Order: sequence, then structure tokens, then C-alpha cells
Amino acid sequence: MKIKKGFVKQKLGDTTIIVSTGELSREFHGMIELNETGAEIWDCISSGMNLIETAQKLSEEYGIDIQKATDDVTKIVNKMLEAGVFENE
Amino acid sequence: MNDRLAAEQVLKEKGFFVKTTAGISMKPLFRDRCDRVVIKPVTQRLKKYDVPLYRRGDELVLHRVIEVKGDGYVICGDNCVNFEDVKDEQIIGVLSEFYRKNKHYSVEHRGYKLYSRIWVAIYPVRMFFKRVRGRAAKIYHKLWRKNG
Repeated sequence: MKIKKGFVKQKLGDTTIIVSTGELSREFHGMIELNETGAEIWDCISSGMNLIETAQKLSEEYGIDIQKATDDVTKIVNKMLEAGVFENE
Repeated sequence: MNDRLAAEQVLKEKGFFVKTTAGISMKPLFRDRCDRVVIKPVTQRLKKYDVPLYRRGDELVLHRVIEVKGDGYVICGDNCVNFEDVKDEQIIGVLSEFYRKNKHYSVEHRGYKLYSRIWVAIYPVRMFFKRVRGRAAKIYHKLWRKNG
């Protein structure tokens, strides 16, 4: 799972926003708002982690059950999928 | 939903709107599809040097206020020579922050304020050089066609 080239993450006060730049901004016009967990998941996936590794990191970092972390990751990744954030590797 | 309606809706719901700039009309400040702008709703009348996001038909335009008038503004892009009359009701938001070369700036940044004042002040000089360059290019193309 790889994030399309051209998406950039930026902080805006307490909010994290994802917007498209470059050629990608021709097809993706909106913005994606992420909460703290969403931003963390974004960073993990950007750095090349898969869903299991991301859930493990979240579980360790926030001290939550691995199943709960997996559910959170799946939920947010599904929303990212719907938004067209990923490309085929 | 078109971009204009989407932007208006996001501004209303979230209180801000982030977009990558497209086009060259605000060069050298904003480069085509590189820099990001943060637009906030308008809470008062705009001032000279403000950069509003406004409607032009179904299009969204981000240009600078050159002059404040009774019921609107004279607006021009930093890289444009033509002025445009824009009414208050066309304005949907105003530039409040931006990211240029991944560096964050507020419109209150001293360097940005200095840039906007200087850029507007030297408008006649910029217009002169643009016209000279345009004419030189025409002459060059005519000569090139004749000889080529």
C-alpha cells in the first residue's frame, strides 16, 4: 500500500490536513482532515509500514489493545481508500 | 459538486479551506501547483494588499486587492497587468496563511507584508517591462518568420 506521490501533510493549528500538489492536484481537489490517530497512521504508511506494523505501533504508543488498534487503522485506511489516496505498488 | 461550491461548503463547515494554488497569475508569490494557501472566511471589509478568494462565474480566483472602493475592490494578480472590479458578494474568503517551498507564512509575516507593498508599488514598472517584453517577442517572431 503506497500513498500517491503529490500528497502533502501539514499542520493547521490542532488539525492535520492532507492536500494534493503537483500533477495530482489536477485530479484531487479536496482536502482530507486527520485527527491525531489518523496523522499517526498517515506517517506510518508514508514511511512504508504495512497495516499490521502500523497497528502494532499504535498499540504500543497509545497502550491500547492490538485488536482495537487494528480496527482503528482499518477504519481510517478505508476512508483513505475511498478518498483515492493510495496507488498500486 | 464543482470546486467553487465545495470550497464554499468547506469554509462554512470548517472555518478554513486549504488548497494548492494553480496557475501563474500570482507568481512570484505562488507557483503553479506547488504552494498551498489557507483561506479563512471574511469577517470584515478587505483592505488594500489582502488576497481574497472570489467567484468569477464557476471559477475560483485568488488575486490581490489593489484598491478598496465603496461596494467592491480593484483586484489584480501579482503576475497580471489587467485590473478587475470585484464586488463584496463575490468574495468567499481571504488568504490567512500559506506554505511556500514547505515553509509556513502568515499574512502578518514582515517579509510577506514588505513583498506585497513593494510589489503593488512597482506595478507601473512591472507593466512597462511586460509590455516591452511582449512587443520585443512580437518583433522577434516577425523577423524569425521572415528569415526562417
